[in-house]
Amino acid sequence: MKQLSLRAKLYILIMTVLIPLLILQLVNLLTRYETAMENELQASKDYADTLSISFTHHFQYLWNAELAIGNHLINSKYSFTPEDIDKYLRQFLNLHPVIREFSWISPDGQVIANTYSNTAKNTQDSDYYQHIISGEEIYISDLYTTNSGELSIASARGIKRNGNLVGIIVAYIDIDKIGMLLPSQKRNDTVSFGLIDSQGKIIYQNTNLGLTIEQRDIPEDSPAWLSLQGQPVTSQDYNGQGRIGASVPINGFGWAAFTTTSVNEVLEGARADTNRDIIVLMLIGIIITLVYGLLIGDHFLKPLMRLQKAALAISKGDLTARANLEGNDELATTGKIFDQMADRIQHLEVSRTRFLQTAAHELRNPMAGIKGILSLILRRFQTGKPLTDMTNMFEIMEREIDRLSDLLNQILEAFRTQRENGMLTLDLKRVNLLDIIDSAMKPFQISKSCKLITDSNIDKTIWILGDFIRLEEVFRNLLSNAIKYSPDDSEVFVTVQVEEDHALVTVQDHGIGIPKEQLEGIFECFYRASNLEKRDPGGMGLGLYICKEIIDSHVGSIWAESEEGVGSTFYVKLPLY
Amino acid sequence: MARILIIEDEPTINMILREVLTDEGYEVDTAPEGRSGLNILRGNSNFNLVIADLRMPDLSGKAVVEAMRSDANLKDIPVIIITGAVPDSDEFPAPESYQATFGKPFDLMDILAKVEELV
Repeated sequence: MKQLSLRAKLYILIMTVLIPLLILQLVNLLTRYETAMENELQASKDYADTLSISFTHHFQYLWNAELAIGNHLINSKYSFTPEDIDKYLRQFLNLHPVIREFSWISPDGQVIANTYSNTAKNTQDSDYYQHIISGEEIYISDLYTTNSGELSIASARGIKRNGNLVGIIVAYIDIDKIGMLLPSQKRNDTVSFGLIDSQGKIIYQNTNLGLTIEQRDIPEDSPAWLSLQGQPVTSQDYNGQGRIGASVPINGFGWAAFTTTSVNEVLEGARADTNRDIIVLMLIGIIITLVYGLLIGDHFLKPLMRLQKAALAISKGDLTARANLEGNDELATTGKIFDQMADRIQHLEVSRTRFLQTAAHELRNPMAGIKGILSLILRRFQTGKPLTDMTNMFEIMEREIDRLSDLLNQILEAFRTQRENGMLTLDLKRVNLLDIIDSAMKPFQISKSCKLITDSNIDKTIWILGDFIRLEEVFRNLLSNAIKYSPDDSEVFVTVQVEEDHALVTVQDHGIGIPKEQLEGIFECFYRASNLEKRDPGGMGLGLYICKEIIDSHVGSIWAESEEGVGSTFYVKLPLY
Repeated sequence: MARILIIEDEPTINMILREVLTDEGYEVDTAPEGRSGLNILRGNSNFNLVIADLRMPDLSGKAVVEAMRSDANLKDIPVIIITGAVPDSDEFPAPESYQATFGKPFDLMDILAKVEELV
C-alpha cells in the first residue's frame, strides 16, 4: 500500500464503496432465486394439475367411447360373429391415436374378438379381468408387458345389460402416444412431464420415450410416492439431480402426474438479471471512480504538488519559493505553515548575511584606527618629526582595542541568540504577560532616576504563549533604552491593553527621540542613532535587533514611533492564548 | 599649498589622516559627515582633493560624490574613497566619478602616495 501513489489509493478507496453495493446485489440475487423457485413450484403444481385434469378428461372420453362400443356390441338386434366384431373394433382404432388395439372379452374371460391377431385367448389371469369381474365398472391397469413384449396399459369397461355383465371391452393404450393426451407447456426446454402408475412405474415421460420396463421405476425416495397415495407434492430438489418440480395424484386412477424443470434453467433468469445489474454497477462504478478520482485527486494533488515544488526549490537554494495554498482545509493550513517557515528561513538567511556584512564592516573601523595610529607614529619616527601627543595616541589605541573586543563579544552573543532563535528553541508555556512585565520592571523601580507608571485597565492575568525569560529580556531592553535616553526626572509609561485576540504593550518615554528617517532601521543589527555619542560603549546597537527576533518568534510584532526632542513610544503586540 | 578635505565619521581615522597629511605640509579640513562636508565644499571651492568615507549616518559618501559631480564648481575636484564596504557594492558612486579607493584598514603610505599623485 505504501508504494502506491496518492491517486491510486484514492481510486482504491472509491472502489471499496462498490463492495457493499456488490454485496447488496448478491443478496438481491439470493432473493431473486428464492422468488424464482417459489414461482416455479407453483407453476409446476399448476401444470401437474392441468396434466391430471386433462388426462382424466381424455380418459372420460375414452371410457364413454368404450361404453358406446360395448353397448353396440351387446345390442340384441345384431348378432355379431367374432369376425364381425373384429371388423367393428378395427373401425375404432382410429378413434384416437392413443388406442393401439381393442379386444372384446366374454364375462368368463374368453377373448371373443380383438384387433390384433395374437391368440391370447384367455385373460382370466389379467388383473383388469379380475377387477371387472369383482364388480368395478371401469378399470385401468398399471403398466405391463404384453405377450409380444410391448409395454401397454389396458383400459377395461364392463358392459352390462340389466345389471348383468355381458362383456368387457378393453382398449390397449400405446403408452408412447399418451403425450397427445397431455397439454404441453413449453415454458422452457428443460421441462419434463409425465404419468406414473400406482406401482411407481413411469407410464409416460415426454423426455424419454424408449425406456425399458426396468428403467421405468421411480426412485424409492421420489416425492411421487406421496402423490400415489393421494397427496400433491412440490419439491425444490425433486430427484437429487438439480430439478424442481411437482407431482399430483390423478384421482380415481391411483396414478400421479408429474412435471420437473431444471433448477439451473429456473435460476437462469435471475442470474442473468443479476449479472446485468452487476455489470451496470461495475461500469457506473468505474466511470465514477475515474471521474471522481480525477477531480478529487486533482483537488488534493495540486496543492500537494505545489507544496512539493516549493519545498524542492527551497532545498535547492531558492529561499523565495512559497506554496501559496488557498483555502481552509488541512492541506491549505500546512501550506500556510510551510510558507511561514520559509519566510522565517529566508528572513534568517537575509539577516544573517546582513549581520555578517555589518559585523565585518564594524570591525574594520577600530582596526583601521589602530593601524593608522601606528603608521602615523612610525612615519613621524622615520621622518624625524616630533612624537607629540603620544599619551593621547596610546589611549586612543587602547580604547579602539577595547572597542574591538566589545564588538567581538557582541558578535558572539548575537550568534548565540541568533542561533537559538533561529532554531526556535523557545521554552513556550502559557504565561501571564503581566507577570513578565512586572519582573522586567523590578530592577528599574529601585532606581531613582526614573519613575515607572503602569496603567492598565484589565485584571490580573493576560495569558499568552511565550518564553518567560526571553520576553522579560525584551521588555527590560526597551525599558533600559527608554530610561537611558530620557532626562533624569522624566517618566516612562508602560501600558498594557487587551484587544480581541492580542495584547498591546507600550513603553513611552519623553527622551531625545529618534530621527524619522532612521525609525525603520532601528531594529537592524548594529544600529546606532546618529544623535548619540559616538563613543558610548553602552550603545551596542544589538539590543533592538535581538528584541525583534524574539518577538517575531512569538508571532508578534514590535515597532516604534518617535519625534526628535519629544520622545519615543515602543509597541509590542503579542497574540493571546 | 594644496588643500584637502577629509569627510569621515570615525573620529580616530579622521584624526590620523589629518595628522599625517598636515605633517606632509597639506592644509587639511575635516568634516564628521556628509552634509557638513558638502557645506564646507560649497562654501569654499578651493579644495584640491577630497577624501571621503562611504558609510556615514546622515549623507552617504556616494551622495556627496554625486552632488560634487553635478556642481560646476566641484566636479573637477579629485576624490579618494576609503571604506570598509565591499568593492562592487552599490554603496559606491559611479566608477568614473572617483579617482581611487582604499579599503579599511588601509596602508597609510599608500594613501599618501596617491594623495601626492592626485594633488
